[in-house]
Amino acid sequence: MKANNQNELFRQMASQYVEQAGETLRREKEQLDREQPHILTPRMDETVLGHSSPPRQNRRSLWATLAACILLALLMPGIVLWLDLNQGGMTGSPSQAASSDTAAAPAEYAVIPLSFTLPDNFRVEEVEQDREKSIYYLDDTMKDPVVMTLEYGSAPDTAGLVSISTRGGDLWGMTYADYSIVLFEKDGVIHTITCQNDINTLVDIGRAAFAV
Amino acid sequence: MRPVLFGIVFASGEEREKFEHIYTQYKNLLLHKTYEILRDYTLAEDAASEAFLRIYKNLHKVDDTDSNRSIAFYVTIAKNAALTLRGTEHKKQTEEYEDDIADTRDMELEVLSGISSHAIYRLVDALSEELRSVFLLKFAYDMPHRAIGEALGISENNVTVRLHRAKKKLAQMLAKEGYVCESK
Repeated sequence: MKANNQNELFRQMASQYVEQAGETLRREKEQLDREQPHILTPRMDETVLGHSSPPRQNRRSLWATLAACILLALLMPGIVLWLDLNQGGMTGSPSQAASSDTAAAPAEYAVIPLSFTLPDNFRVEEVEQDREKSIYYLDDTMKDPVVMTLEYGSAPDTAGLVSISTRGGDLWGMTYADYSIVLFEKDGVIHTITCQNDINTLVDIGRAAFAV
Repeated sequence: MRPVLFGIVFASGEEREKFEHIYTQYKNLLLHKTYEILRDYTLAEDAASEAFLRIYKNLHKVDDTDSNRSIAFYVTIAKNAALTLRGTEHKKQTEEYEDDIADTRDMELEVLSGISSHAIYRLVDALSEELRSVFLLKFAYDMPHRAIGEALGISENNVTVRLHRAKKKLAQMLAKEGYVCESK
């Protein structure tokens, strides 16, 4: 609840900020357009718009698209029949319709629960669901706040990370300029843990996960 | 054959027109903003080009191409593209908030009094560009962490770390300026 209030406040602040910043930038743009209306940027235009199709090509593209559509329409009954035969007559069946509906519906994700006890100096400050990932914001009494992301999977992407020896499980980690990271897989869940400073903070959590 | 740009096939001509409008209208502004950071015209063009690619990839987030909200979005992306190119941290003069503030882990963000819009602008603006951009894309544009990472050219893990820092720092600033109280 506390986290929700905080996020709502941040949402309001961010929305107000972009409105105000946007207004300031709009005025800045108008001034720039008045003062330097004809800045030539051939290199950037080429990079960004260089592949633009001229109108004649667009018209040609339109005809090509139209022809492709007509061809597809002519072939479609045959394709449907072929699929029907090959899929045992599933086409258009109620079960398939239901499965299509399910696929189209936006997926709802539940928070992935923690499967181990955190070291004593940590407590869960906030949990957030970002699509398929559960993000645990951990508060650390040692003042090195940690973010742990949980995601279902069995093959963590360990590229660029080094193996860290521990009892009971495999940890991988690395310290970058901005942050440290440790990740491991446990019970079909990939745990990605990051903090600002000391990688040992993260290793402690990894070890706790595999403690008997 | 549909129109192509950056090797990307546009879903529709309408989408392409929308993007070209953004490009022609805001090219100068984005170049100006990237130049402010890079101080090199060639690099500024590269950063602006990269920014337009990222804007294109997030075109679905842009409803009204000329709204204040959208303009702020373009510039946020452009500044980050420039910072990525520069490869160094762009620090604003806000580091006074870094070290000298008490731990806020038990702070309840309960606003004591209405924060003026001027104060909101000042507080959010006081965040470094790296933190502010992640904060805005998350809270103003409601983007998932993965999309934020793609838009800013950073890893998803880095998004999470920066977002956490931004929230902490803002909470600290709000507390320091007396806008929130510690309820405990």
